[in-house]
Amino acid sequence: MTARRPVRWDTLRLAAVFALVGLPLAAVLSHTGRDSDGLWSHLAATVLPGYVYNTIGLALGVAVLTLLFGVGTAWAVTLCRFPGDRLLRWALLLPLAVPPYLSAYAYTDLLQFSGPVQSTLRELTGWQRGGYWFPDVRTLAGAIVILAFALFPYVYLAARAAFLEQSVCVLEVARTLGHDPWSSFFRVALPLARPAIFAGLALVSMETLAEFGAVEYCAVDTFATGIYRTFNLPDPHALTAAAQLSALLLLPIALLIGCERLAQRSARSHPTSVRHRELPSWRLHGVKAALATLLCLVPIALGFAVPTMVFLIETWRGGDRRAAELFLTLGRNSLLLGSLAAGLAVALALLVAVSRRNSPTRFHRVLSRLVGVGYAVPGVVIAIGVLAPLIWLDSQLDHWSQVLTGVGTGLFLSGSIVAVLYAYQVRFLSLALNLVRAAFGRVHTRVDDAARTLGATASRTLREVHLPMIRGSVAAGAALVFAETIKELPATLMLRPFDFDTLAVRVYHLASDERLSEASAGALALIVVGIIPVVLLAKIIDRSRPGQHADPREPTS
Amino acid sequence: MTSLELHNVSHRFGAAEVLREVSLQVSRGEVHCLLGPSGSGKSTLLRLVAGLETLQQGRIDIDSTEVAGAHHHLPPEQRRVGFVFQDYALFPHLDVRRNVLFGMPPGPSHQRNQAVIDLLERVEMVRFAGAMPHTLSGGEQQRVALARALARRPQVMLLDEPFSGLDRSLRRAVRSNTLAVLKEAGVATLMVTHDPREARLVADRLSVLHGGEILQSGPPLDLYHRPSSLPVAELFGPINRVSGIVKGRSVEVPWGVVDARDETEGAAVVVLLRPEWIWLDDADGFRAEPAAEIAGITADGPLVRVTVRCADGTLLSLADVPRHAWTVGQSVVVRTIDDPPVIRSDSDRP
Repeated sequence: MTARRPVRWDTLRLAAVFALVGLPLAAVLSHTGRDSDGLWSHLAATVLPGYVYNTIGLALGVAVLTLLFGVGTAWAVTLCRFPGDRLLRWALLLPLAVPPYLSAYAYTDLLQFSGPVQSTLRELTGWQRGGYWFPDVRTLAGAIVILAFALFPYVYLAARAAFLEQSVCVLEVARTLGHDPWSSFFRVALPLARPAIFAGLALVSMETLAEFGAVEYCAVDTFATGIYRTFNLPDPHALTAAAQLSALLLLPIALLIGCERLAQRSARSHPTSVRHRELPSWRLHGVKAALATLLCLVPIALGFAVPTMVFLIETWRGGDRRAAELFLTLGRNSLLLGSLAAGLAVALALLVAVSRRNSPTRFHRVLSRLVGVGYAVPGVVIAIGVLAPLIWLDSQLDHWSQVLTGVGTGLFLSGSIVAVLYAYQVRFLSLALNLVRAAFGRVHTRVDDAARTLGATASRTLREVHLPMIRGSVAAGAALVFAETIKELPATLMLRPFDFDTLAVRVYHLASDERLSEASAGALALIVVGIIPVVLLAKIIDRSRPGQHADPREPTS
Repeated sequence: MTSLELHNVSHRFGAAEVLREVSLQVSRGEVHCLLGPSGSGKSTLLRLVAGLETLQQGRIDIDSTEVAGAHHHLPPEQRRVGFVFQDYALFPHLDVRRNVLFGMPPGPSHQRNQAVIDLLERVEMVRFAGAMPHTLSGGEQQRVALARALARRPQVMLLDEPFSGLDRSLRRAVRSNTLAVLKEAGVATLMVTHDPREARLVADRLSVLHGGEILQSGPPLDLYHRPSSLPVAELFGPINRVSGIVKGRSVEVPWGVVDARDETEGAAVVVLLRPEWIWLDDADGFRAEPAAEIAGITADGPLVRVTVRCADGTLLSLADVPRHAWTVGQSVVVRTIDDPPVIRSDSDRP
């Protein structure tokens, strides 16, 4: 391509965002060779094998369960017709609204010895304590089940998108070649959808590796909880050792990113037929219909309805006596962090997307993709990575301020919400970026050309043409980041300023103290916020069925 | 008077050369058509003039002022150039009035609004001022795009296949309106099209672009009657090719001789004959003219296409009004205009 004039500025801007996002990861990696005065070798000898075992076990267990339920439900609601299938189609996304740590709290409350389920059982059967076996939530198996029903929608989404994209003709050919629906599913549909499902599984695994709250509550020692615990050790080398653990965790994550990218690439298969008629719908009756409904209802119930009901009932029965006064402060803090993070993320995403649009070279494309890589990195790792450079910067600031003005600045950055906001950007920028980039992609470059030949500068074009055209996606991006920020636990826990609690942090503390009824109102609020991205996702998916979006324009509503 | 001048403009995308040493001038009030197949570099040329693409080699002047040269690139927003895109590229989030207002130079708002109304009046779109672009038909969108491009009072207007998105029935009306508006505005217009008929209809001058080079430039009739190469000749319809050798001032052909024009003695040439430049007489058997015979007759609308085989086997195709007396196998005498275009044999390969 030709060299356009603003190339240098675009490159600088992109590189700046890239440096910002990459710095924490570089900081984590830079600790690998550092001396931790025996702390690391101690950890490696004592707890590391357990971390590895639990993390692998958790990831595998969650992968198997999400695969079964994700693909099964996607197949049912996409290609079969049974009572309620339309409603179930988006209701299957609802579990995404409940952060796994809230599920863990709810199930522990529900299934513990003194909980309603066991009490009722004992009353009905007359069993005595210790005289019967009952599943324990706070085990590896419990964590697996909780995470699986919180995360299966990722696989469901990927599988459903893949099934929707498949040409009807391919499936019909399979039928004419003598395969019944069941066998054409396994012989044709599933192999075709495999790359997409694999990409969904990779996402699930990333989330599993990143999960902190639920796993910690279930008392399962994984890398994420181990890093957190090491970080909190009263040891001068705690940060270094935590960073070294983090660096180790980055290995499987890099592997997962690679797998996901590869899978995504081959998921963009080349359809041999471009006909996208209304998908075939096998109408189910009687027992089959009931089974299909049940298959979909079970994960929705386990992943969404049951935890929500638990919190509803708890709130109804007692709730937090100090709820009203605390709620105001906590809500304000959460809102503040959420809106600031969302605004920043959208601004950065626009910066990246515009630079990338103005300079359509391979270099800029790759750089703008790398900027979003933080979505795969666990919050605990990002927190460690953000803290190290900020502490260094603070010490420099403090030093020079002492020298110049005689007054120190203290922990100006690392002890303020700057640190938390920074971590949120690293982790959630890709959410805003993906939406903004996709929206920009739908605006034809000729519109830019028209604006420029009509006398508009690049910035006026962005302001008066691009932004009004993509505002729906910008708002969606902001809402996604907002919701994720409000729910985020580990990074907020580790980086928030002293005495600065958010809803999520408060709920975590109350739950840790077994004061669940007091936490329930906050938990409900978090679930309500979590429904925002679910609704957005459902809307985005509705628009993306091939052949069904006749109007490529950005909706103005 | 010359408003747009291109001097030796060359351009490449990576290894591919899309324009080679292109020069042309467009005067105020003149419509200059760039005619060529897709991929011939037409659109790149427009984008270079608009400043949407950075010039690599050559020079572009607008109103005798350099806008792009060796060390100089005026950004598009600072050139007074109007651009009507193939798909019109109306801003989908703005209504018709605000689309046109977008390009209006700053000034008191009542003046700008009045200017918008005036422009919409000129393209007969005032009653759609509040309409959103997606509610308009193709022809209506085209007129809004034209009004919008005129809002900056451009010195040069660039049209990229402006009528190709329209129905055939609509095209003629929109075309004549557009041209009337452009003439009235007195701008220099450079229009890109791949349709030779359209180019001949609207152009004051036209340039044939082929593989990044201008093959021939001139008024449409000149290019039709005096093509300098076979690709140019074939653009405007079927043409007969008859090989011959220049002898003296003429070329010997199976039915007699034609003027050799400026070709030199002994040169191998090709005589080009459009079907309507040939007609037939009955052979009466007494004249010494070489006879030919009718090899085929096909009806083609109001005319017939007649294929004639000359004595030496050369086949000629001609169009004529049908005559009942004609039958296949009949002997006839071939007559043509005296001075058809004559090109060198080696120039018939592009």
